Amino acid sequence: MPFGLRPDHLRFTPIRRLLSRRDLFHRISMGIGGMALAELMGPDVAAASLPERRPAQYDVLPKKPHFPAKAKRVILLFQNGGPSQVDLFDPKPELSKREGQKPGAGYVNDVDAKKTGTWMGTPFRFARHGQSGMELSELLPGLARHADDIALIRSMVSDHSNHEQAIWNFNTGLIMPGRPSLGSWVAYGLGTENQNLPAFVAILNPTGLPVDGARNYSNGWMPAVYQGLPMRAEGTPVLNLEPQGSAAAAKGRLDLLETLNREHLHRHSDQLDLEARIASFELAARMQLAATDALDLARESRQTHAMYETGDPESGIHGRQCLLARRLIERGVRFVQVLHNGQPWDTHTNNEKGNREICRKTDGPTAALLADLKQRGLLTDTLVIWAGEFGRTPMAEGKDGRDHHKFGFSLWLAGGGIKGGVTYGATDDFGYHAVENIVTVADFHATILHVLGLDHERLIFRHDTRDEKLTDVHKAKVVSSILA
Amino acid sequence: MLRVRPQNFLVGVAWLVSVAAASGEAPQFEESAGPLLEARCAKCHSGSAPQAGLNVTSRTTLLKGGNSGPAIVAGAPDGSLLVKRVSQGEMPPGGPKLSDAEIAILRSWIAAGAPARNEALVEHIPGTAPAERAHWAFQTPRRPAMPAVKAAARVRSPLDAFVLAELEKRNLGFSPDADKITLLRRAWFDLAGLPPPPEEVDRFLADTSPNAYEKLVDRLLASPRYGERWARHWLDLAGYADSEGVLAADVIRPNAWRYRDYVIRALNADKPYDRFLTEQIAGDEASRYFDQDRLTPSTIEALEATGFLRTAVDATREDFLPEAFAEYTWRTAFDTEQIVASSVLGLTLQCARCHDHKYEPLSQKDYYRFLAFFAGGIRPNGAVLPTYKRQIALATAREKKAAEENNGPVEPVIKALRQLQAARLAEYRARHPKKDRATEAELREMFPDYAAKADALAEELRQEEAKIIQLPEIRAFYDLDGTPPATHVFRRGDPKHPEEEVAPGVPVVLDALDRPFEVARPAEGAKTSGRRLALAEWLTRPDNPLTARVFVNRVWAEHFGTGIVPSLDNFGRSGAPPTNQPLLDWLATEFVRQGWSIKNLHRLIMTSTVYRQSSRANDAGLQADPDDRLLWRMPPRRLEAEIIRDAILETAGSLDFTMYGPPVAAHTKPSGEVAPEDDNCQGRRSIYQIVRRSAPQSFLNAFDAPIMETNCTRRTVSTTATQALALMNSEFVAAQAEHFARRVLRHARTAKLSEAGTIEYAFRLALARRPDAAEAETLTRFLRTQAGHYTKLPADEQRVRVYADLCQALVSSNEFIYVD
Repeated sequence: MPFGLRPDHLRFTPIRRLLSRRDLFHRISMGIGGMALAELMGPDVAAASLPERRPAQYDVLPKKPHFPAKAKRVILLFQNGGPSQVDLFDPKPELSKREGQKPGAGYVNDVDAKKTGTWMGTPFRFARHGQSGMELSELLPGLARHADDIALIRSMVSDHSNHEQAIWNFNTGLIMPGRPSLGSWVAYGLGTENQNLPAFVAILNPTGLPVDGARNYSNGWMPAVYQGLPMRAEGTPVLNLEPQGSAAAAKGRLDLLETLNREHLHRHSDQLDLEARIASFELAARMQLAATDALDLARESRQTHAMYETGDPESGIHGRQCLLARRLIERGVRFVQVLHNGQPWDTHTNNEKGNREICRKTDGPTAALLADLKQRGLLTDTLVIWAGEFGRTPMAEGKDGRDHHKFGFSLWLAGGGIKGGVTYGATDDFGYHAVENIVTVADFHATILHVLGLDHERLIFRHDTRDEKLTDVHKAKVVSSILA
Repeated sequence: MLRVRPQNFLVGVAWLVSVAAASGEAPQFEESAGPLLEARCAKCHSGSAPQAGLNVTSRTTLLKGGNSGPAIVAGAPDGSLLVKRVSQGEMPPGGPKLSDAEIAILRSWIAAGAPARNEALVEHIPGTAPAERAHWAFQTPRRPAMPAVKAAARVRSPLDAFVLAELEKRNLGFSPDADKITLLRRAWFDLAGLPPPPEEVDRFLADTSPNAYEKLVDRLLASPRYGERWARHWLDLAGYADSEGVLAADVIRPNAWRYRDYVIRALNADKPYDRFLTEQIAGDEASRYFDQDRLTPSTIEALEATGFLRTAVDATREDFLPEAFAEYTWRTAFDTEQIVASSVLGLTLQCARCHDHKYEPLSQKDYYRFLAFFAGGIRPNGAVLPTYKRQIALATAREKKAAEENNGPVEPVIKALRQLQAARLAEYRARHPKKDRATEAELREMFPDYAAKADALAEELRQEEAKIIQLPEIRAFYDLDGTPPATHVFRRGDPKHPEEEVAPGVPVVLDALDRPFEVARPAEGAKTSGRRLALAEWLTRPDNPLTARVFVNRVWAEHFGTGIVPSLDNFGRSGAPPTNQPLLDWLATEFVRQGWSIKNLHRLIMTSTVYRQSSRANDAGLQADPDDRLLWRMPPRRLEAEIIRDAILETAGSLDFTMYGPPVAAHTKPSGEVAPEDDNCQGRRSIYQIVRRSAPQSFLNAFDAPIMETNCTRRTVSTTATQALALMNSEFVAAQAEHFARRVLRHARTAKLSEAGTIEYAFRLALARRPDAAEAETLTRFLRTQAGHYTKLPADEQRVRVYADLCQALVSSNEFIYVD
């Protein structure tokens, strides 16, 4: 250890102390008459009784949830590109029967109506699995073994059919960029268990960034302590984690730095941020050790490696990502987001081949993750989410592709707080419109927060003059039918 | 010349008048004009879609008027369109005219202030109520009298008196002046964004004249480094980036840098702020570039300035469907409005896009009236013109024609050659065992004939490409023609639901009662709408309540860490009140009085006692004002991301001072780090590094450089382990520490320095001051112990390594990245 362990943590000092909301209301009420006040405040006036929510320092120390949580941590397996519901999760015999027929009025390609193709059934067989008899595609043999562990939602809708907007919608709650992502909200709301590791980690595919890059795990306007720290499942896992040159020399440098900083602090004893900065070097040093251990997949057994298929030329990368996710979760990281490179689910052409390839790369490791969490007793309080930003058109795009589709698609959740074996909601006969128990992205977010013990209406971050929520102004409802 | 008046201003005044008049025995709408209009006009002019947009069934809708403007002006029958139309017999069309008696009823009702019994019909228009208008920031600043203070001996400038008066109210006073080296380092970082080199330290220490410090400030203001340092602040506000954003491709903007250079040049030239703003908001209209065949240098500069309005994310493409084009372009329009309103006016106008502002007297109509200023140049519902084509070529008509004639036949040749290149690559890949995954180098190795063919083709392509005439272009904002399309209020901010049409205008609450805002209607065939020029004129009017205050407050905040109004981008009622309004108002009025000179403003602030104070805390101050809101000491500050990087380069002797031009490219290393190409050797200042929204530079990003989504009106200062790791382990810091060490050792050899002298030189380069005895001892001991880690190296190299480690600790230290 370069220098003594201190129970210190990351800190953020706001450049200005923002006004409290109470101050704001007070000042406004002093400025104008009572009638106008009510007019200005609207229904929000009740919020004036809320306590001061802005700490002087933002940190990731563990926080109490609003109510008892079912899950303590999250692994989000993000399926960039938009997986096809009718080929994976939502069998539609009627669609296959009408193969090649023109869709009726109202069934259009939302991206470009002119590109609306004919109905295109799935080339894949579906079968029932587990006690629950959940119907899943033959492309997902691994997941099928966990049919009774997952809650499948078949009635998702998104607000946009373009990748970027839909990704922002999914990650941050609105179809605009620049807001904090789901992991940042959870880190802000709950802090993290292990102060030697970041609260929020994004595990990248070493071959490249996902579409929209670092925005997928951005802290938006929240302080940088809530940013997702990118890690790679091979090569250099964390930027600047390894010292240049020998470790001993690096320790010598750090010791000198601390001496200089302590001396400087002595002359500036009233400056809290100087102390925080000294602490940040200590944390960085501890992180070097903790992360080096967490990231070292070689410490896993041969069986584990085999289970995650880490040596497989096709699924090896995702296997290492999933294994790393488990190691981080195990060490108390609050939120881990696993990302593919590019957008592998974006099957505009040759939908069949595209689906076969990406499922071959991901299904085995995904199933291994569920099985491994289960055998280690971690699945009971870890929420696992498998989701893309939207689905795909049940009609063809061009000869054999599928286009983006926001009106009805599927995703699944498993683990802490989730009822396994549930199939929730339904789309119409073609898998086009969600028609039963529709779930919006805001509902989905509210449900995730709920499982973590957080009320989406009460998880508020003050940004400039606005109280921000993950669900923004959406009227979101928790999907209680999928909860255990 | 015809004058167009914004409607709501009049409505507002009318409303005030009517409230006063309502107590008398005036004819009420319900008993007089109401029934008459109902009988004679309501057949066409009522309901949700009335003829010509005019609904005559209520006082409110009459005041609001229709397509031709307000139908009535309360209290002014002769100025009321309704009276004019019925008197001249234009209305009702085709039916019997209104009798004189009927017209008299209308006239007397209007003359009485158009009162209505049903007060519910009187719609409240945000920004019209006296209480709303009374907010301090919506009043023109008045020059306050200098307050009397006890410690008058400390007053160097009037602004000292304003600060001291507040301090003395709490039994506080100024801290002593900082020592010379602290002051020197503070001034250097504030104006040049760099640490002072030892020669400058010596020069300043040696200058014992009473105005040595004033001379220093003048020297720094005259340095080109000043523009580079302060441009960063302005570019944050402008939301400057070298890429378009929005789409994943995040296409590079090849010409954005011209605007960045404009800002640097303008600041270095001390362009008065009113002109600086006018050029950025309406440089095209002000310069009348369209009347010039060959653009003059000042016109070119004015066009470059309008890049301010082209910074918003803007991702239109040629192949976009009209709907997608509109959706993306509206976003660009909205962001552009937000950038202008938040940076120049300090208003949260963006909150009124979907509904009237919740906390401010700003209506949704105010939002769309402001949006109409930009309707001439940004037309979401217009013809699809991809972003990159919205440029002004720096060429005469003849040159443009020549370029077209020249390029026309060459372009298809290039296209064909590129196709051939791709086809050949595919052909050889098919023959290679690795198929599609074979690299170019592998093909060359396996097929010698491929290498020869590929080289010949590449050469041919190069020759053809050399024939293309590339005209320089400016990414300017300019009116597409003189008649911008109508601007509508969007229901809940959704462009798919346009409602009422609005004319360009400023927020009602800021519109002066005695000098209402107007846009001159453009002459027939005018090439520009004149809207933005009118906006710029209004913004730079000396009686504008916000422009000067918002700007001086920002400059103050950059010098002291916090603004006099702490909410830099919010001067509204929901913002923070000024901690010292007389100080703010004196600065604002003095700034205007001195011709909006930004350099004079710096001089004013930096030569004051407030600025020259020591940053050391004292108990009285900490107890009475722990946040130092009243400035009983100089607040210590952490350097911004760019300045930390620049300071490291400068200390290492690696800073390349080349100014201007296209940004330095960045690359993504295998580790995922995004860094400038030249970061491990010589580096250019951070202001010239590429700002790509999707790939923020890792080192800068770690130290809170903003990711430009819209703009950044206030940076956060965070302390994270990522920053510590970057300073401890990054290639950049390690490489620069080595350059720093070699620089120190080179100098030690030339100047024949002892070890103590060498350590001192390194220390002074990094921190300007000399180490004290304890520090010198710590460093000496470090050299000895650290050498133990490099015993296998030759003596020379060992020395470099050990010094590099020492240097790295110096540039990572808190003292290095904080300014006292």
